[in-house]
Amino acid sequence: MQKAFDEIRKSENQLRAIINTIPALAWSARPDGSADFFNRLYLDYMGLSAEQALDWGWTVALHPDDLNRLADYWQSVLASGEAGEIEVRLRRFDGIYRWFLFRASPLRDESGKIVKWYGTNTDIEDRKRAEDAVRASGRDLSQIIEAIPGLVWCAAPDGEVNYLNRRMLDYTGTTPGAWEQLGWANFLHPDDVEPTGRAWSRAIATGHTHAIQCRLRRSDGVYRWFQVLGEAACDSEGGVTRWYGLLLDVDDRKSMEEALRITEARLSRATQIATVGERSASIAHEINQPLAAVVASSHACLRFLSAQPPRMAEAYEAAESIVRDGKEAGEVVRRIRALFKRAAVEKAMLNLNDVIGEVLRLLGGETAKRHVAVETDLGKDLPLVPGDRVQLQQLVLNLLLNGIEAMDPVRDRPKKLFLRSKQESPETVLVEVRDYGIGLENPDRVFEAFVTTKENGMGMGLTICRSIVEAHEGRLWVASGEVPGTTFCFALPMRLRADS
Amino acid sequence: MNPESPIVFVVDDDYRLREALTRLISSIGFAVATFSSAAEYVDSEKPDAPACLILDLQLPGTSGLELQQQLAAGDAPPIIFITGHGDIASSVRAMKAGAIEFLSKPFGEQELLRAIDAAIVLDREARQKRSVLAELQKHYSLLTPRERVVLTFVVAGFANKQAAGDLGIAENTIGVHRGQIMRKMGARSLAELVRMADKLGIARTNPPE
Repeated sequence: MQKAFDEIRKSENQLRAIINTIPALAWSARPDGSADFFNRLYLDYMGLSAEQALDWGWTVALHPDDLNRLADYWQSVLASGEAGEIEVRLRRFDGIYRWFLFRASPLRDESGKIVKWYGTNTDIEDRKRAEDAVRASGRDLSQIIEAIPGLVWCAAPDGEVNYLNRRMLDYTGTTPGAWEQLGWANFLHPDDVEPTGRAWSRAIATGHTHAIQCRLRRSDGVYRWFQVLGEAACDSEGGVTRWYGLLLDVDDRKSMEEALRITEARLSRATQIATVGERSASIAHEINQPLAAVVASSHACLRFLSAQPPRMAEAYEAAESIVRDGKEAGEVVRRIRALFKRAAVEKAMLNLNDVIGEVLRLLGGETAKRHVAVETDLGKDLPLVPGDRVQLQQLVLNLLLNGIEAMDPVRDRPKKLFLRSKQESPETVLVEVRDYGIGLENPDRVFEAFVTTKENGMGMGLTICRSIVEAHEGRLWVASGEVPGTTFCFALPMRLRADS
Repeated sequence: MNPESPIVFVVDDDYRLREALTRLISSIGFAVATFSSAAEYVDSEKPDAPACLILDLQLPGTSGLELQQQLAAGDAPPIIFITGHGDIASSVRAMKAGAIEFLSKPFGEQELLRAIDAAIVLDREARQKRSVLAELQKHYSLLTPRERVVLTFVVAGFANKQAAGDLGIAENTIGVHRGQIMRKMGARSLAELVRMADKLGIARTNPPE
């Protein structure tokens, strides 16, 4: 009996040791919920004696904000007789509150009546902090996403848009539901739907960055230019898990760029006109002087001839003056061309493709304004030619402007300029400028001064072109084809004779 | 030569154009005189006839526009500008300063003829006005100082009695002066005398209240 008693005492001591050692706050309570036992760890944590903690005394360690919540919950658990758990803050002996998970389970006798509640409280402070941190960073992220000055979207791997930030919804004046129903295409400029859809499909198919510019309709119906950027997030196998996208408003920049290009084109044209204008002012004066004499003498000559009787001697004299002054006008033209020839050719080695590129950039605004498409077939590894960059730019510019103007009257077909460059022979590089304009009546005469097909033309442009080409020891000619339009060609040598 | 047959002056530094214009203008039937510079034109002796001046804008030395300004004060003939390269600024200046035409070289016969004809018509009218005025001035110079004073009263509509009162002389004396004025000026009526005084720019005495 004593032995059995000793055994029981021994196992009871063991149990107590276990209960007091387990790394949890353990407790028990009567069926009415009042506490009748705390393990040592629990009492040590709270810094209370068993007498202080018993019954409801331990509740002084509860966080005041959690007291009512716990009381209500504990009552409901007692009433239900089912096990329960709740998270509350419990004050440590040093006054610091930590989060605990309270768990309670009932012990029933044979009749099913609850005789005792047993419970453990687990310290969950660290987990709680981690959760808060995650929640806070999530809040931060969504704040960032809403605050960045761009429209943000996310899409499923198949391309279905499943998230739009507030700015995106505000800009388009829509709701996620409406967006889903109408589809993104409904919010794009009609002209941009097709290219944007194509780019998006390609991005989805390849997983590559999605980047395109398109016009997005604002809630007030105004379209603005946006730069669309989409990046795929991938899993470890490289499969796309989600698309993250950003739309940046580039409308102001876009209009600025457009304005800049227009200004540039105007400036270059103005510079060109100014230079040509300056020259033509003095040229015009020099040429018009003998021409005025020619015209006046011609009128006089006609009067002398039609007089009754004809005044032959005077008519003859007038005709002689006409011949003399006409020759003089021709002399002036020859002097002008010599002037261009004399202008020292800076013998830098140039790639004609660069020259063409520079002129096309300058002309960008002009071609866009006149709805002229420019196609190029520029030879790769084009040999360099010695030349004066500015003069050659003027040459290409003149030929292109000539082509653009020749297409002004064209209404029944697309306006197109075609530029080709290639090595023509072991010694020369060839450039062709083809327009699809009205063509030429007298292809052989176009390089003569004052021969112009244009209403307001000076007839000097092509003369200047030829002077420049000749100054480079090259050739300039017209290749009339069977197709509508005109092809101007020039070929420049890769080495100047003067060098050899 | 008939003093009333018109003459065309040409000022241009280019001999070819002077030659050609002389040929053309004389073939039409006008007398022509050419000058190679503004100074040569200014210094020359000019016949007393209706005229016009064809003036090159770009002259060496005194330019066409400068000559136009110099001539503006006197009784110069109407100016037709010609230019090898007309810029808008100078054509505007020339026209504002009273040029009647601005022709760009090379110009046609018709343009030139129209301009010359218009210029000559204008000059004839101007000369007419000038000669009428000269005639009036000759008559006016015959008036005595007293008669000139009385004239200002007469053309202002004073009755003899009022004028006499104001001038402190007898009414009869005013009547005598008045008769002399009408005779010397060659006026057949008071209305005509008033018109003459206007042309001469004679101020009227303020009429009585």
